[in-house]
Amino acid sequence: MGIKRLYWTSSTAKYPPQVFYQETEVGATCLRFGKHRPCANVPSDVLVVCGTITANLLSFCSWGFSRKDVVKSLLRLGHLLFLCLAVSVMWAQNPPQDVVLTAMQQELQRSFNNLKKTPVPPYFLSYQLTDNRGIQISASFGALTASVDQTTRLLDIDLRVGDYSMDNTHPVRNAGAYDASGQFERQAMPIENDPDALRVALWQETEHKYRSAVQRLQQVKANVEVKVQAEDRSGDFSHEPAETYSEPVAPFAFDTAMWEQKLRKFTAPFAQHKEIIENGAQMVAEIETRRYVNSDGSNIKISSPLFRIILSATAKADDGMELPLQQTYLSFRPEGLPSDDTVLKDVSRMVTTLLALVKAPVADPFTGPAILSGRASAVFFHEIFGHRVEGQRQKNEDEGQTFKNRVNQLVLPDFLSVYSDPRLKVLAGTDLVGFYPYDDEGVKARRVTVVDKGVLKNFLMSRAPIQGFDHSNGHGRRQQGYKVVARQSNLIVESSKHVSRAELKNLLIAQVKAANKPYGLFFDDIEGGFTFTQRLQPNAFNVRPTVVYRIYPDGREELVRGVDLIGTPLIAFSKIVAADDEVSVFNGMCGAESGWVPVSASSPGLLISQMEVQRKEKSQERAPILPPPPATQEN
Amino acid sequence: MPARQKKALWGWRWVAAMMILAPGLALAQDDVPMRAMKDELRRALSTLQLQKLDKPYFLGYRLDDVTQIHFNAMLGSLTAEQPTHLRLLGVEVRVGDYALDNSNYVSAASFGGGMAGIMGGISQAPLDDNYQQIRRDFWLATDNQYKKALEDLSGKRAALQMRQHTEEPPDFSKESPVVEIQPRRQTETEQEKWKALARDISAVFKSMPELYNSSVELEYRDSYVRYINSEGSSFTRDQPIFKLIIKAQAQASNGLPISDSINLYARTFAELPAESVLIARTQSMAGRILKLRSAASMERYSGPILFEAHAAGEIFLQQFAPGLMAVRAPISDDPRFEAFFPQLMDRLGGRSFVDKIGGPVLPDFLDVSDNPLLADFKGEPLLGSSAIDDDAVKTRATKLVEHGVLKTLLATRVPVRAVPRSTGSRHGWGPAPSNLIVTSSKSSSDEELRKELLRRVKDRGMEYGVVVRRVGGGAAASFMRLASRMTGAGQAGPSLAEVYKVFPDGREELIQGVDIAEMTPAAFKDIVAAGDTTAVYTDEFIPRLGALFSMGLTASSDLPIVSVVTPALLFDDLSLVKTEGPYPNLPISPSPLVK
Repeated sequence: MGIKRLYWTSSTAKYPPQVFYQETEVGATCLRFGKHRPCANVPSDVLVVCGTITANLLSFCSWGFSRKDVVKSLLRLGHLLFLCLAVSVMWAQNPPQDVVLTAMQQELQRSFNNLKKTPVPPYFLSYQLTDNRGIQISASFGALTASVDQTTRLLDIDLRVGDYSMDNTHPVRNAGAYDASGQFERQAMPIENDPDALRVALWQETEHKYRSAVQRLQQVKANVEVKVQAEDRSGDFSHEPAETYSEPVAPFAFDTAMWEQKLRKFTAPFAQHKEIIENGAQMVAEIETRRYVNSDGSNIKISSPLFRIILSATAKADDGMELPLQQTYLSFRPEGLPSDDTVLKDVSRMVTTLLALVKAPVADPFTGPAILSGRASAVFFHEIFGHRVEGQRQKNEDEGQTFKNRVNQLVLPDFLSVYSDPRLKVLAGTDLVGFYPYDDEGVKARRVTVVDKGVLKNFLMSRAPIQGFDHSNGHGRRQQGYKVVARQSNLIVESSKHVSRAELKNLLIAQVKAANKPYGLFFDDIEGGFTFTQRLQPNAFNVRPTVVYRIYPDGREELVRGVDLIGTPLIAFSKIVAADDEVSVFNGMCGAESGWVPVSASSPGLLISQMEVQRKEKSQERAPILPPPPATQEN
Repeated sequence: MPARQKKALWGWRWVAAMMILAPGLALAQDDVPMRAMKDELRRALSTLQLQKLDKPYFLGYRLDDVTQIHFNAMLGSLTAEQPTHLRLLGVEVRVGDYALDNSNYVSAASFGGGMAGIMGGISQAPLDDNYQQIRRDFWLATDNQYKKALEDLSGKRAALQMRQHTEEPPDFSKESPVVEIQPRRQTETEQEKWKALARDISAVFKSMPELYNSSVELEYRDSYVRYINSEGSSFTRDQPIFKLIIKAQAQASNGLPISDSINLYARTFAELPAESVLIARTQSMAGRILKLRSAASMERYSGPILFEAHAAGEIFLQQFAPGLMAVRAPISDDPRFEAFFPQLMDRLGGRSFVDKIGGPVLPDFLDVSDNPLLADFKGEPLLGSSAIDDDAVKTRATKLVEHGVLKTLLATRVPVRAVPRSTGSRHGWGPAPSNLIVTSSKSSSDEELRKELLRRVKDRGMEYGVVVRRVGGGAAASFMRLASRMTGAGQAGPSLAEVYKVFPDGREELIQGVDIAEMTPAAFKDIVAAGDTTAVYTDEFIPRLGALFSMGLTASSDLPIVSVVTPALLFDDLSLVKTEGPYPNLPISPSPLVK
């Protein structure tokens, strides 16, 4: 539980600082969706008109007209337009009947009212239903290995007994692993939209959740009595406004046969080198629609496709060391993925790097100055900094709480600012997969300034309050089936002073000379890493670079292999001395207590005056005894 | 027509006839995966050797093309739709010789990688018929398994040196090579029909809100298997199966959970009962569950019990059949493990009858045989039939029990002392029955059996006797019970789905919530009479887990399907108890279906 793993899989683009990022207005997002909105009960030939009016209406609203004025002015436009308008207004007030959402609301209301009559009544109930259709294609060395098309619908229920200050979700101290029980139980949900079947499934699961909630509240009460008083006495759940938001189910088109062929093509080049022992390409195309209702009256429907390609290959050096490389592309649209030529160029670059790594010398343990490229810095920040500003870690008394009492104090060099913004959908042309309009507790996503000019300002918050921070800031996230905790979204590291990449290298060389070291290190790419945040373990991190160079005082660069980046967070952050002007964006999947969620991070390249590396763990398996078999049939 | 032309035409006809007769043969020749397997097996057998260490003396390669389509429905709506297509390769490598090789050995290191050590011989192969990649995957899997085999063999030799010499049977039996190429069947694809069937059956429960849980599961599995080994055997086999499970659950007013299910298997969709028949059966099951909610209960019962033919098949397969499998206990580098292993395996699969060969296990009027060569029994299909087993041994009929005396056990190529040769019974990771046929030399009509039951009841001065019409639950439930026994929790005996009290006047009364108190295979010696009509009961069979340790898992295999043919069986003395509580609370809200 204490280890937060992150497998970064992406690299995309580099930006000049003047177009560092471009914010997508929420209003603009609404407009875009307005055009696709299906108008129920309206003939298809008026769909376009209807959509336009909807869009106009929303834009008027966002410019400050009251909805009533808009309705009046449009009333004169005739019968047809009136009809459309009526539909639009109905949409704006109450989204048109989504049978699933209606069934959820009805069953929530009925069950909640019935349970209210019991001696231990619930004070809050929410249903989140996640529909997912996923097509997953895999290939290896030019041949298809899997092709799966799967539809699932999963239910997550948050049922709370007790009250906002103390309820059944309160942490039970020293409960050990048993406290996680029940987290993975799943009720089968109809994947079709029959309201009766849906309501029966919702009812069964609500009954089940209610029983375990009542039981757990007893444990919580006893635990609070027998243990010492908790340091942080904030409540268990925050009051948040009810929200209404609805997107239509996004269109989803995917040509499976074409992509199977592409993946064969992308992986074929790896088969030509015996040094490359493992290879895989995976295309995952999915559309996820989340419906959320709660007893406060919230009612949210979000729908978004996501496409990702993951290429991976591992070479084996003569000494048995396995050298992995990965390349990922993510986008919300299939057109957002790179062209075949671009991918094949990346494939050929991966092959070249792997073959060079096999021959590269093994690096020794070392401390000294180092540069982390923008991509490496972004992973580093997500991993070492981002996880430590997640709200619940300031409260849980098993956690190291690195930053708990450092609010309004300097925690980073004063030229660095960090914020987390789930509303950013695109950063200068690159999709940011940490985007979402509402989080998994139905709270509106918002930008959070975590660090302003080096000073810690805020934490990432779900609806679990912590001392001094009573409300959610829209960062309660989960993979379906897990309990919500505060997670990262799009993490942006900004530097107010920067130098060119070449200048950063010169600064490194100056540091190398000043410290009288034989060389410095340049970490170009990182595979992932982990960090311990709990008190039981040292609060260290281990980040796994895949492409590392030694930089000698004369400027020469030498590729090396076999080291991991290690250290402790507070020391590492205090040693950041400069940033470059090449900002990289990373998209990836981040795994922690609440499962896997898509996130992004971006950062300029950073110079760190002292970093430590240790030897990487090494495979003891000897290479295959026989050479690879011939490619063609024997006669 | 000139004679020459005539002759040529005749020649063509002959070729055409050959092509019709031997499509399988043609397939084996041209099949790219089979070719890749043969080429790599030949290369490995002739050249694979690490320094001066043993070369492999046996190699077995297997490739399974698996299609699995799974639909689940509740109340007329699908809850899951999961089509899976994958190709799995399995490699079996043996070093040493038939008498002593790397198998039948478990070391602490085997558990080091968790199940990975045991499942090491299996991996995923490309779906494409790509010669180079299929060969490459066999190359790597063989290399991996060969290195593991070398380590195991040296560990095993060291372990054997540390103990007094005991006469061990050979590790692997010699069998004659077999070539059995079966044509590949057309994969069934009418998924819309299957979905509709699952929806329609599950919709039956919509009008019964008292059934708080119900589901219909329809699964189609089609594994096309290619196999070759270094002894010259090769086979291909294609045995699709449809599995239909209809389940419902309710609660009695005291909270007692009441559940029942209908489990059906067929080789083709067309062989499943018609939809109208299935719906009628579902309705009658649902009706019985509703009746059971307010049925009488029974504290305990000890006395004669009549298992009607269907229930006799279920209880025979769950409680008696597992003992008929010969499983070798592996040697280990840790004597504590060896001492513990047989107990563990008994718990996980019932005690084997290996020590009972030559002695009575049933009353002298009962015979049991295993017959994979029968396709049906009096017109009812038997689904355990196959021509060749997973070790490439030709299957054959085996007389297991004659006049109540145990003659032999079903075995694979891993022999035990009393059973030195394979009976062609490897199905999946261990020995399994095919079609078990129980016959009786002394049989009574149904009426006579009931009379006999009531006579015994009267003799013992009891008010009523007990008839079991269905045990219920199937293989999965009996496996779960065994698993729960591992932890010491849960009931040991089977729960009974449909049980009646029978009174001297012939009246029947349905009883809720009864389990068999304790049942060992020895109880079958107390059978006092058998009926003259038989029922065919088909279910999955879970091979003894112990076999995993001695044989390893070299190919994924679906659970074997077994058919059992039995007459009704009257047991002289068995005990029943009321299902133990505590029972869950009743729901707080009624079902939303209650209008």
